[in-house]
Amino acid sequence: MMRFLIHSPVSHFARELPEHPALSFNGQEMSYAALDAASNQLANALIENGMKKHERVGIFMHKSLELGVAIYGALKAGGVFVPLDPFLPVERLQFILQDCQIEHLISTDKLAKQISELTNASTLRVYGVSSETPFAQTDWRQIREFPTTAPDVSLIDQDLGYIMYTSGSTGHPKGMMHTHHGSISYARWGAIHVDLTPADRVASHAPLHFDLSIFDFFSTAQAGATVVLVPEPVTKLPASWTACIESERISVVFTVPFTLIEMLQRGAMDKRDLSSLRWILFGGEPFPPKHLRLLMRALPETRFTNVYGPAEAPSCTCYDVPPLEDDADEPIPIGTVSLNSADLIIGEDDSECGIDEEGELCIRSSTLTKGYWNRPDLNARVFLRKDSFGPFPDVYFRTGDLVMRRADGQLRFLGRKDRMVKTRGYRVELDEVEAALASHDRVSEAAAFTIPDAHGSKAIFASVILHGKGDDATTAILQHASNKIPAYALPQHIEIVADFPRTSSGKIDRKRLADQQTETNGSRKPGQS
Amino acid sequence: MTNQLLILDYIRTEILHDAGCSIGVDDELLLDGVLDSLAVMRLVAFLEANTGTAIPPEDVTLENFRSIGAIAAYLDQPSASP
Repeated sequence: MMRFLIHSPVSHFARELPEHPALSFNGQEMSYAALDAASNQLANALIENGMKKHERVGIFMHKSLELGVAIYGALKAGGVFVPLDPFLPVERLQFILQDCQIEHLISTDKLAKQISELTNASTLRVYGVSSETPFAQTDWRQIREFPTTAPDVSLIDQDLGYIMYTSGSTGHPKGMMHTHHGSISYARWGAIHVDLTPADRVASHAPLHFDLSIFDFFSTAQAGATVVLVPEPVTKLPASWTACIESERISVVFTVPFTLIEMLQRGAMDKRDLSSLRWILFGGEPFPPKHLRLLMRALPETRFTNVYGPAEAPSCTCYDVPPLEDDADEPIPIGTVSLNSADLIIGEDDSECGIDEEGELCIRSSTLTKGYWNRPDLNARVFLRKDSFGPFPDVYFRTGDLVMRRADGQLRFLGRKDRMVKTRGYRVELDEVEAALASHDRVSEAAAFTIPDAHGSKAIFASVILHGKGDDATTAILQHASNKIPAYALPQHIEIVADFPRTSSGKIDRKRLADQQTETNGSRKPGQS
Repeated sequence: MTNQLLILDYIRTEILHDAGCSIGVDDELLLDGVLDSLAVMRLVAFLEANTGTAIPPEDVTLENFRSIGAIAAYLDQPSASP
């Protein structure tokens, strides 16, 4: 059987376990047979409307059973799916649609208003929307009239499967291209590492545009297990999330430390039966040991794994966390490389670092991105070619993450080489935040920085210098920036200042700004922003 | 000020940074992306400080926090401890 493509397992399990649930959402289930048939109908509808192999297909949806149909429909038509955050500002959505030339967009009635605000998109066709938009449309009723047989599309595993956009330092997001081969390698790693079986119910907690979702959907499909799509409102409310784990009997979760710390502190865990939860994977940012220890104690039967990997090279290292000692406060290692990856730690001059020496982590992996869409400048910079034998250099991705190898072989994460930060697991380029603030008419200069927050993560703050004098403009500036960058990247607080502290070379001293703000923030009352 | 107005005012000024924006008492706060998880935490802290009501974590559910109307109804119910 052909198992080289991301969507192959769905057709396989539609034959082997036809009635077994592939997806579950809000108490409703969709079987493998139904998912296979519905995604074939969507694929046929896309092709009938002119979609060609390798074309990008936007998926702009909330969590729903149709989201699963959209992913597999796009893939079966030979398309490259592009997850689009349903909470994205329209300006940013528009940028991505144009950047990778999306002409086929799968969405939902709930987002018809945002779609209607798109301009310069005369050739766009929207699927799954019945409410009127200015664009050509094919709704679900029409899609269901197409044949349930798979379209004849020839793909190989080197073809692209998805493009995932993330924060870019230039002020625009950048799209990482991933092949079927890379996605399957990631999916198989996950399915094997946590030993998934059809009995598992794996949460889809992270949004689709966050690469944890590749594990959620595709590792699960590798094993013929069930994806439990967690509604977005539930992911924001820890007490509803723990209720969801209980009622959906979720067995495996891959999420960020922020979600787990919130669950520990506000999830009323003692009032729920969470015994179904056999494995928690976490990643995206460091998990403070003091919180992790408490969580592990609250869930003594659950196994915990720290998964490291930028979205360019997902799950390239991992660490199965042993029971933590009471007084252990050493950071949790990111472990050792996964079986489909190799690592190289290099110093300033690209020479290899020894034990206990700090350097940049470079990764060679079968999960590695093909590069950034339409960004030859970046692609020339981020890959390191190292001669191994003959004329075939090994290609490594420069992660920008600083690590050191301990004497026991475990890697320890030490920080970033550049200005990318993680806030609640989301990747944010502070340069992009500054660009969004500085694009407001009143702003002369902007400086964004992070300070530690109370939830083991980092909060983004900003200081700005205004042109001339006038009213307090912070509200207007935040409102303006919210049209350009996602909500999670918006500064929680903006301070208007006359000037910034500067280093001797005249550069903005963002560290001093952060220190000043940390002090002020400590004295702020709860509820104030 | 009624609880509804208090919540509306806080969401407009502190969360959406747009004092004039239109938002209805029955609008979906979480599905429409008005509140994210951090904003929910800030809103709960604000409500506890300004209404004198203790809000236990298990009460911060979709049922009680889906809309401004739902939050106000939750705060107004007699069992909420003043």
